Amino acid sequence: MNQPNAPKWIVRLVQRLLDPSLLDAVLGDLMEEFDQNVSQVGLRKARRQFARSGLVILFQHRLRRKRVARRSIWNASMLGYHIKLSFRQIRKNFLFSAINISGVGFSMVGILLIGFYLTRELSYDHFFSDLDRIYRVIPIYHNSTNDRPMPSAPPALGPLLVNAHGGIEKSARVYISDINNVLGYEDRHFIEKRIFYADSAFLDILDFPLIVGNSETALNAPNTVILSRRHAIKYFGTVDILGKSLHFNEDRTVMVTGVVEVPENSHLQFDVLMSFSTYRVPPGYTDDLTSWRWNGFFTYVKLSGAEQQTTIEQFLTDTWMANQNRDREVTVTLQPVKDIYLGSSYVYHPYFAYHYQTGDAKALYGLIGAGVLLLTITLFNLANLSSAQLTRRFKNITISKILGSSTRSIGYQLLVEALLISFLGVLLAFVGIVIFSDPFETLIGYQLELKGQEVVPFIGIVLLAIVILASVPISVSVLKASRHSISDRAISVKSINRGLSWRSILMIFQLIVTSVLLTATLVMKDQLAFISQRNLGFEKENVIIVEMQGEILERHYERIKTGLSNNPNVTGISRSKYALNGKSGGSPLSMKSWDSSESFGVAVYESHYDFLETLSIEILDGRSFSQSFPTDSANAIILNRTAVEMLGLDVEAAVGQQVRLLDWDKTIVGVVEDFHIASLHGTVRPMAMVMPFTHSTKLLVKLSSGDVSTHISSIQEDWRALLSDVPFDFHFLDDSIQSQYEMDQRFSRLTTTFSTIAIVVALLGLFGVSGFLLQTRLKEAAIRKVLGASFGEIVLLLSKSFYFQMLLSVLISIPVSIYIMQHWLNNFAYAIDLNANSILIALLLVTTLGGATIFYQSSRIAIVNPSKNLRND
Amino acid sequence: MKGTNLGELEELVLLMVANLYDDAYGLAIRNEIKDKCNRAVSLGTVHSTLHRLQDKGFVDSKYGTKNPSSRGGRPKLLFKVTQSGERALRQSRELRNQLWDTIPELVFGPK
Repeated sequence: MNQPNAPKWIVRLVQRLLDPSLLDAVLGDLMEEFDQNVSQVGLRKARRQFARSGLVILFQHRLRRKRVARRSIWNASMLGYHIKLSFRQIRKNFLFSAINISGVGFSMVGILLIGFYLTRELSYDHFFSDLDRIYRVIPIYHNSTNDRPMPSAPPALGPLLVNAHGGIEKSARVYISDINNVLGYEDRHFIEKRIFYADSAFLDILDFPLIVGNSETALNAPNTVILSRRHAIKYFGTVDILGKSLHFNEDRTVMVTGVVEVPENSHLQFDVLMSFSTYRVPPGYTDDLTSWRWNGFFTYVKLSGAEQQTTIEQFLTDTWMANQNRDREVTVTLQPVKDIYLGSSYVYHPYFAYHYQTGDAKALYGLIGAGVLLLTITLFNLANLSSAQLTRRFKNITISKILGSSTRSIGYQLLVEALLISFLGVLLAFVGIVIFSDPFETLIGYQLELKGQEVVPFIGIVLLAIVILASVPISVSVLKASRHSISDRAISVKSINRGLSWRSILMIFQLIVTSVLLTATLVMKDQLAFISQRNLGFEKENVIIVEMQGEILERHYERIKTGLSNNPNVTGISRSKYALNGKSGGSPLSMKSWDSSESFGVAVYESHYDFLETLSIEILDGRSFSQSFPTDSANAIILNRTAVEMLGLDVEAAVGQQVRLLDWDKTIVGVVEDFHIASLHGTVRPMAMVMPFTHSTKLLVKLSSGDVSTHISSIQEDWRALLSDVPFDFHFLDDSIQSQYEMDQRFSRLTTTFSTIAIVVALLGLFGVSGFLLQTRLKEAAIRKVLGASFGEIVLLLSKSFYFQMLLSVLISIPVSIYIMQHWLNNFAYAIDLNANSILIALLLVTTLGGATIFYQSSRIAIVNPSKNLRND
Repeated sequence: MKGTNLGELEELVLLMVANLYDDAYGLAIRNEIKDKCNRAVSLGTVHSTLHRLQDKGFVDSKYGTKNPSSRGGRPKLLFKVTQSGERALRQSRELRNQLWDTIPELVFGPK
């Protein structure tokens, strides 16, 4: 008679684990103590004390039950024996094992790819040595309606930070030139678009590794240049080029003081790094390097310690407000360099879209989610398959038990088998990735090279994966085995068709995930197609853009224009500073009548005569710039519809109105329909077009329709006759527009791959599980057939529960996919409406493939001669 | 088996077994230690120590014959000090006395 109020689980544990000869003594003592405690301190405390004493007793190992043959399992010869048996088992159930191994393999490919991608995206900028205390200056401009954080600062701020505060160790400005410059060595002249000008402390803050040269002095003097390794090879064929000279634009010479390695995972990507003192403000700019208004200079600081951040932010704000010669409310903040790549969406500003790289943190979460789902599917599959498999092996297990195997030894056998299967699967995945590394690299857009310490977490992940994957069949076996007595096992597998529930739930979940992934893939494809086909407000086909150095283009523009106009294949020519791929200038715009503090930001396009005509941009009212109005170059402005509406004007009434752009008074001469100068992630913003006041670097040539390549070669001939020494460096407008969606396309490719993998894994699972489940109904089917059931009746009988599950999961998946995809589409300002088509196609695909699998399995059974399945009994 | 020395707790438990004479079982020893020495030891420690003492041959145990109605109806495991246990206790006491006697007066001052 046990004490009724004492915690039963302790009693049970003690009974199970304690040396049997001590059991009465110990349990009796515990009970007696419990009784004493109940009367002294109450039931609750007594129960707690009972548990405590009981556990303390169990921790005394000398009081515990002795185990006899404990170690013998793990000696080497037994392990060898287990492995051998496992291989036999794999060979015996070849189909089952192949499904399992390839299922594991497929999903590991997916998970490893996600792993590579994640490692890569998270590794951005981690090569800088003082990462924890380097920051980028982010001024936040306040005005009455909003706060606008900018990634860059005015040029006047940088010099004020040198030796200004004990907390700032170093500071440096970086200016990224958006005009085309020409570098040349001997006869090799190229237009360089990624020239950065940087203060001498730049390499102390962001320590890009120099291959040759001294990072402390390389940027000290004017007219010095550091080339990236690729560009050193491009110009000189070697990196051993210290002290060599390069021609810079038409009249300057710069000296090479270093060659730098620019890792791919750096947020700054440059080809040429020049000392800041080399920079000359191009003619036509309204501001110089003492300006507080010209916000275009990335400013980096290295602090003496991360704890200084708030102090320095305050100091920077004070310095800014005390020194700026204008009336503007600004708070200066610091953004850790390690957060720039993934955490810059709040400072995203289209003017700077191409100046530094940013990643999409949301997309990464999506990928992690996809990876987790994939892993879940795989685990469910393994669980399903191994439980189905185990019922088949009950006879085998029972016989080995009867012949004297211990439960433990059978357990180890199952463990070795499970480990072996998941190991083979992971191995398969690795071999697959190595063999197909090229397509995978295009897929994730990175090189799959793992070296040094990056490998360590991967080995960890892989080992963990093997263990996790193997643990599933093990726990299934243990659970199942513990529920069956030996006699149950010996008799048959009758229990399998009863409580199907948890297996069905796993299968339904799998099918839901698969359908959702597939729908997502199709919707993404639709959206990307929609974007590339959308009318952007101008004609992007048959336009080529010739990149030129600004001075040369300006000097020769009239000659080029006359020369090329004679070519019958050319239907329009213009020039502009920007070419519709996201870049633009920016300035405040207001009505002349407004108060001086009121204004809003507009994108500024400097473009020449015929720009609107060349691109077939619709003019709503007024006219485009014209040579017959000589004042156009100084006074005229063309606005888009959005800008006009933001000025509070009617489109029809806008022409002739006076506005103020920055400091200039302008007259509106035309209003154009909105057109997209940046990617469709954002809506059309207000924009203003003025005649170029600085060098424009892009020559736009509209070709007549027809064979583009012959047109281009004829233009090239004309070009050589006109300007023999200027390179004809051209690209197509639609290509450069498309390149804005590279990240989206990469993401879509990844999703496609994952959903393919998910479908394959899910189908493999369905194939395996249905096969095994139906195996248990062989005799039933045979007897029904003998009794006169037709082929169709048997197939229906065998497969209807599967079809029901499939239907259920498809129905559940619909709202889930709609919810998720609506969320994704919200990222785009111009998104497709979610229509039934892609969802239907996805669901049809899932049901057809799944249905075919099940039909195949059930018809295989229905078609067989009944005597084959009955004669053994 | 480790040597036949008596550890501090072992000696204490052994003394308690001797003190309790015919009612020396786990919980009683635990309570006695608590009452007399004001020292909280867990039941597990007491049982473990008794087990060790038995391995060394200092105590002997047998289950009590009457089945009490308390204790969940489980008999007590009663311990008795063996002859070698008694010898070990005496030896340890003698050793102590000797050592006390040879402490120079300078150390603790005159008695």
